[in-house]
Amino acid sequence: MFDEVQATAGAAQGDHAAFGALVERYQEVAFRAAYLIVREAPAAEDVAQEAFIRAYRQMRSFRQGEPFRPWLLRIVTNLALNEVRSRRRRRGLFARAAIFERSEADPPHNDLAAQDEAAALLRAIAELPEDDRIVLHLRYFLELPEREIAAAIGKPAGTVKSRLHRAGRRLRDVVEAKYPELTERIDG
Amino acid sequence: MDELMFEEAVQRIAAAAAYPSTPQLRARVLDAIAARPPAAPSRTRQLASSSMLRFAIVASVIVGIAVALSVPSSRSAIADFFGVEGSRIEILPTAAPGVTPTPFPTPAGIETYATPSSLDGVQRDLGFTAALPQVEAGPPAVYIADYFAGAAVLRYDAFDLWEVPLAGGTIGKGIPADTVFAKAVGGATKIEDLTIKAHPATWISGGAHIVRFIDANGHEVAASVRTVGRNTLIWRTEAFFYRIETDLPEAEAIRIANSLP
Repeated sequence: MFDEVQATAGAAQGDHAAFGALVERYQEVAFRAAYLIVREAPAAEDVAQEAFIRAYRQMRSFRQGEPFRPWLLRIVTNLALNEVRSRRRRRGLFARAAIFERSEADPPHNDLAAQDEAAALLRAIAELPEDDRIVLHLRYFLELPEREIAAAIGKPAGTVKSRLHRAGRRLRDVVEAKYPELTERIDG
Repeated sequence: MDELMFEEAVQRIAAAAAYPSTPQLRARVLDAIAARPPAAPSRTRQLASSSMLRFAIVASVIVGIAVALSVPSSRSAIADFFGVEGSRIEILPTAAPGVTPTPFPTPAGIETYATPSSLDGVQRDLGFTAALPQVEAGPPAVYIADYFAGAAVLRYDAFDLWEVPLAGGTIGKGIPADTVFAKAVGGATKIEDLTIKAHPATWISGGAHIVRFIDANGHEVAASVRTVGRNTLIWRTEAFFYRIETDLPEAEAIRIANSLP
C-alpha cells in the first residue's frame, strides 16, 4: 500500500526505494503535464525524468505533510516551459505553439470523435496566453483541484480562481470564434 | 449557456484526450540519481590547486544567433575573462544583409526557472551561506534555480544576484566543471572588462542576451535557456561565480558587487 507521507519522508532522507515509489505513483501525471506543454512524447519523457531527478535533489526543501503532486508538477511545468522556449528559439519560432493533432502514435480510443474534440480543445487553449494555458491544462486535463493548482503554480487560491475564470472566458471567446464544432458540442 | 455548464462541457471534452503511453521512469530516475550524487559545496571550501581551479572555472561562450556579431573586441574580452582550458568560442552564422534578425524571446518571470526558497533553505539545500550585499533595500526574496540546483538567486527590487559555488571540479551541486555558461548577444550589446576586488569581471549592457548552459558534451541544457533583458555584471572568485542582473547603471552594480563580504 502506497503511503505518501512515508515515501516523502524516506526520500528526504535519501531513501532511493521510497523515492522510487513516488516516481511510480506520479510518473503518469508528470509525463502528461509535460506532454500538454511540450507536445512531443520524447521531450515530455525527458522533462518528466529530469523533473523527478530535480525533485529528489530538492526533497529536503519539501514540506513534509504537504501533497507531493503539486510540488512535483511545479517543477515539471517550469522545465517544460523552458524546453518549449528553448525549442522555439532554436527553431526561430516565437509566436505559435505546435499544433495538437491526434496521431498514429496515440493509443487506440473508443471514441475517435471525442478524441478529435479534445484535440480541438487543446488547439483552442494553445491560442491563449501561457498563464491561461497552464491553469486550464491543470484543471481540465489533469483534473487538479484549485488548491493543488495553487500549489503547483505558486499562487494563492484566490489568484487561481480568478485566473481560471479569466482563462475560461478567453477560451470561450476563441472557441466561439474559431471552433464551431466545439461550440456545437458544448451547446449541445 | 452559463459558466458552470461551459466548465462542465470543457471538462467532459478534456477527459477524452489521448496521450502517448506513460514511460516507466523509476529505474531510469534512480540510476540517474545514483550516478550523479549531489555534492555539498561550502563557501569556506577552497579549491585545492590551480588545476582544480582550471577545471572549476565557468567558461563563457558567445554565440551570435542570426545577428551580426560586430564586436570582435567583446569576443576577446569574454575569451580573456574565461580564458582557461576548456573555453571555446562558438560563432553561429550571422544574418545575411537585409535579413531581419530573429528577436530574442521575451524574458520570462523568475517563477519559470527558479523555486522560492529562503536563506535558511540555501544553507540547508545548497550547503553554503548566501552572501548579502550591503544595500538599503529590505531582505531579498530567495530562490533556487530549477535547472541548476547549485545556484541561489537573491531578488531585490532593483537587481537579482546569482551565487553559484565552484568547488572540487563541479559547479554547484554536481554539475561537471566543463559545463559552460553561454551567452548569446546581439550586435547592440556592449561588453566591458572590469575587476571586482581584483577578480576578473564583465559588464554586459545595451541589449538583451540569452543565457544558457552547454553541457560537457556540447549540448544545450534545454531548461536553462532564458532571455536576460537587463544589464548583467558577472564575476568570479576562487570559490564562487556571481551574476547581477539589473537596470541600474554600471557604477551602482559595481558598488553592489564590491559590497559583498
